[in-house]
Amino acid sequence: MISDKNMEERNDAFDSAIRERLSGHEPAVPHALWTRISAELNESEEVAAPAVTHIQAPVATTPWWRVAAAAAVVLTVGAASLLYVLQPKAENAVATTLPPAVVNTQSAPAIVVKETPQVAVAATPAVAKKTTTPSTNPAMNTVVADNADNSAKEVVAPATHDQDAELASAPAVTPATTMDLGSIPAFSLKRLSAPESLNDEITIIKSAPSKKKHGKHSADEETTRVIILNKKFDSQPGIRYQLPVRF
Amino acid sequence: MAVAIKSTYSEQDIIEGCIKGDRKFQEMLYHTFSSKMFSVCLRYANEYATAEDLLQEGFVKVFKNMEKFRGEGSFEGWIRRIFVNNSIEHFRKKANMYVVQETEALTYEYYDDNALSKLMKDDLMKLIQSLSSGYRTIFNLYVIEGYSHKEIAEMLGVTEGTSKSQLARARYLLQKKIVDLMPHMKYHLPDQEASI
Repeated sequence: MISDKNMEERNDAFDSAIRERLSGHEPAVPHALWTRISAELNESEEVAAPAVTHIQAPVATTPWWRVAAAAAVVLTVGAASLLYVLQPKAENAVATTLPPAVVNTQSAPAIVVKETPQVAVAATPAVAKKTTTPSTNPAMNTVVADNADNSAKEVVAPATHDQDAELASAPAVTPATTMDLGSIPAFSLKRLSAPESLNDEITIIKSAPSKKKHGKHSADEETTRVIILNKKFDSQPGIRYQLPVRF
Repeated sequence: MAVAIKSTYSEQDIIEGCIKGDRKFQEMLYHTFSSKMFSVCLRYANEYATAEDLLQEGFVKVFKNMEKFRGEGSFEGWIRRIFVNNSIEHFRKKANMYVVQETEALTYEYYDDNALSKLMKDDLMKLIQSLSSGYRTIFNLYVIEGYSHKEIAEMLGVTEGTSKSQLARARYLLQKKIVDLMPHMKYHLPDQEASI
């Protein structure tokens, strides 16, 4: 048997002999190899090149002024559309921008119906029932119709005894009147259903038609005016929207 | 130590030319080192055609990574490391490349040191190629490249014990192949008859 020490020595000697034998070994290299290497390098460069031009191409075909013009057109159209939707209704409105005091003086025996329907309801023409109860309290001659917290139907209807009597003779105003919201011009309803008023409470104030001295009503007087308020406009004192509704 | 490149250009000129992708300088570099690197590839490959592929892959990597050479150490050593790493990577994918075995001190008792000196270099190269890829790689890294078992273990992701046992097996098999190739050089033990 060979001892471990001898074996180690023999292994070292063998390793050294191998190193010596292979130290100067420089075999002949195949002639075509450089051609293959050069071709592979060319191929890798060609593969990398189109990627750069591909990225640059779309940048070169879109000048900056086209992008700017397109953006300006989009912004202008968008702003115009937004302003058109949000602007106060001009057509079909009987009265606009009336302070609360004016509203009350125009319809002395006012019967005010207040409720809080969702805007979504108003957007869909539907029949909304409103209970009207004439009040006998003369002190409450001012319409207060912007109480958003009150979700129940509420009557705030100031009137004097004389006015009550006058009101009793008026055929258009009766208790428990049913008002058809569908009669409100669609354009107005659309305006009210604008996104910014989705969470607002809408208060509908109906006033009785005014009576002339000779007891006759004109065509305009036959149209019962309905004042539609919401919180947004209430936050701007003096702004009210009045829409014609025929019952 | 600067590499003796037989041209009118200095080593630095050739390196800079290769970094720029100049084919002329790349070809100069190739002709300077191709034979030495082909020897490396032949030792790590199991056949001639594979060695050619390793040489091609190695030079492409050299040219693509030329800018990473920082001048620390010799340029030839840097190129050789690329070829060695490329060869290791080439055979790393093979399953069960490094079979874990117990560390075993082996040597072929009939082997005579004189047998190696009588062997032709190309024949010796073929014998090394005939080893399995695991044995061949560790044998090359330890015996030829001079790496320690610890370094080999880190490079190959094996334990030092595996590296030692693989080397012992590789050495034993190579000695046996040499003796088988040259039976007249068989070493006669004084008291003979040790069996493996």
